Amino acid sequence: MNSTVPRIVAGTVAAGLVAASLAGCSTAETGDAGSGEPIVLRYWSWAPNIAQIVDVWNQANPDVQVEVNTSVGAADIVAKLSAAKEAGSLPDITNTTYENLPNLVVNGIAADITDAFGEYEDQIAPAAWNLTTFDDKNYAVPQGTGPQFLFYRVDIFESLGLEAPTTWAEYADAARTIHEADPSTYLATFPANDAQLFAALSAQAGAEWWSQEGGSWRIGIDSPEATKVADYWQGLVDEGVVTTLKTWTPEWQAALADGTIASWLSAVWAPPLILQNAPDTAGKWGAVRIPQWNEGEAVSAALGGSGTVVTTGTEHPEEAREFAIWLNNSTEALNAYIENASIWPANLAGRELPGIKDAAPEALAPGFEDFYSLAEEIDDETVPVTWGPNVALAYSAFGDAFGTAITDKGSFGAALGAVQSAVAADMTKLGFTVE
Amino acid sequence: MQTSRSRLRPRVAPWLFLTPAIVLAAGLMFAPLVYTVILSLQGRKVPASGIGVATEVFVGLDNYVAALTNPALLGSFLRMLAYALLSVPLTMGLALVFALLLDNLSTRFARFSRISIFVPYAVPGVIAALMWGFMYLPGVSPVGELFTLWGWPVPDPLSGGSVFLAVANVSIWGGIGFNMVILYTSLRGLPQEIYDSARLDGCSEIQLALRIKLPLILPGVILTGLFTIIGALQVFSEPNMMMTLTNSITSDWVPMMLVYRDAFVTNDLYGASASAIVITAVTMIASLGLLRLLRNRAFGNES
Repeated sequence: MNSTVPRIVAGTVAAGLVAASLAGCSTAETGDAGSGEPIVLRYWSWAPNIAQIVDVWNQANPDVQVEVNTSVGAADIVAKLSAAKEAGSLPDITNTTYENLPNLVVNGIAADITDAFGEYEDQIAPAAWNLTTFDDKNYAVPQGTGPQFLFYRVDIFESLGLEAPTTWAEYADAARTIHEADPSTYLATFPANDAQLFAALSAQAGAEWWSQEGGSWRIGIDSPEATKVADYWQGLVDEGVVTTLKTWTPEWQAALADGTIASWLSAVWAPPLILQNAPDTAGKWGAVRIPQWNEGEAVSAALGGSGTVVTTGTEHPEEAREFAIWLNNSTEALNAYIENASIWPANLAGRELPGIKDAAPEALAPGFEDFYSLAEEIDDETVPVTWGPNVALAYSAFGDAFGTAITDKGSFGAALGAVQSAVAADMTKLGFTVE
Repeated sequence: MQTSRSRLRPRVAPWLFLTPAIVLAAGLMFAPLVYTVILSLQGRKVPASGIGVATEVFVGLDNYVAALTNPALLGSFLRMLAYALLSVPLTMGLALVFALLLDNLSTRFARFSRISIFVPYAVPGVIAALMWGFMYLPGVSPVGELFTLWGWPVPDPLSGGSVFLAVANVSIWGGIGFNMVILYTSLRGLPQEIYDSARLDGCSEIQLALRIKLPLILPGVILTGLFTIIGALQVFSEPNMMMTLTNSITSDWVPMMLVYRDAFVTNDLYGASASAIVITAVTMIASLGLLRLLRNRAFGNES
């Protein structure tokens, strides 16, 4: 048996492997305009069914194709974008929550799009416009707003003779009634991992977590208003009438599904998630304004909401801007959203489209068909919010501080103080002037 | 027959064989290490007014000072030590016991027992942590349901002091199999005549195991013990997974989690690099120190 034959085979295989791996190393290149090949834009988004909506654009624009990547979730987007920036491989367009937009601006990831989007001001809901504009420059095209709602189990409330609470005092009483009737059930959970919810509740109470004056920042995370909210929830947790499950855990999903938790403080985008997590409770939920601190008031806060950002790493800024604006403002895109997902658009004309206001979400009980009209009202009652450049750090510090406070039965007010110190120290280290 | 010419020719072949390993080590270990050190000497600063774009600046040893004076880092080290003190002895002890028992078992049970003890090692760490998380959470735990059925209070292993044992349990469960297989293989390599003569001298099985088998496989025990310790010093995936499920685990519960959070959640890549270098230095000193201490026992008569 000749020993050179196996050697030749081995050599060929090795050469083939090297060639294949080198070919695999090359990244997808976008075509040049004018070379006859379509321009390919890369878009990062976590919105459900976004691919179908992008398809509408792709079919209408054969020379500018958009590739969607849905593997990045809202929580990781800042980290992934920062890593991509270091690697020089930023996508052309990306989604971001409003809270993370200042961070993206500070890190040089979000591009200034005032020249393409500046004239849209009167077409966009003011709350959404303010969240995407800094120093009169637009940095994102707002997609929607997140007016807050209190979702509650109508059947559980009726069985105990309760009505939907309109003040926080009534909310506390409802909590006590529900827990006394059945000690294994609770009105709600106080989640240490949902800093976004607590920030919204603080804003409703009048606290300003970040605010700017001149060129310097003031941080009011442990301001008296926010401490009032912390003390309120501490009272409920200490009494044992609310539980302390973290949201988006298997325990919490099970509790929502079997009625162990009878309500959820959330926003306009919650009903599809209720259906997803607790499908057997479809048709049993009511949706009202969140409770107020004073009788007769109507103050709300926004929970979440996202916008579309054109990144500084795009090689086709004009086409990218066009797509970003189309995605959130054009009739075709909004109709595609209505058909394939749910949306409460920031575009004011878009809110009048048929199919948005007349269809009440499946999760809601009969009698709550005016869900979206109510969303529009709540939008107008929302307090404006300023987000700082280190929201991710604030949320992470919140989770640690409140998780420890719950475990060690410590003070929520002191936990807020810890978050305040961490955020202030981080901003000072970055070089911001903090009062 | 060697000619003088082949003696003078430089020995290229060994270097050719080593080249892939050198390239991989340099590319995947040393280059990132150097880059991390470079990163740890930088920082980010913005122009002081409003919202401006941050730029990378050289900050010298500021990040190291911040890392070394960070009480959270010290706390995470202490928790990691508590975790290691639980997980290492239990993993090694149980692996040893199982290996010794298997050595005595008849062949009928041996194969099934070997596989069933080894299978947990094949489960990826994240999946194991998720699975155990489900078992621990009172609201969804099958164990909890059984307890409720019998009228007992449902335990919450993830709260209070038992959280260390709960997290350690996941890696003990996975690590026993791997270490057991290595020790069992060492045992299989021992000559059987020693056992026969020991039994003739009146040795009981337990004495045989402790006085004869154990000292003979001590090098293997020490090596696997060292690997287990190094693994415990780098614990990350189990507590990181469980952090999302419970309030008792913070995002800086162990040093690796602190570095991960700083680098990838709160965007402080430079501070995280400095913390990572500090942790690496501590881990290297501990590992090398241990190895030096046990070198003679581990490697036997080799120089």
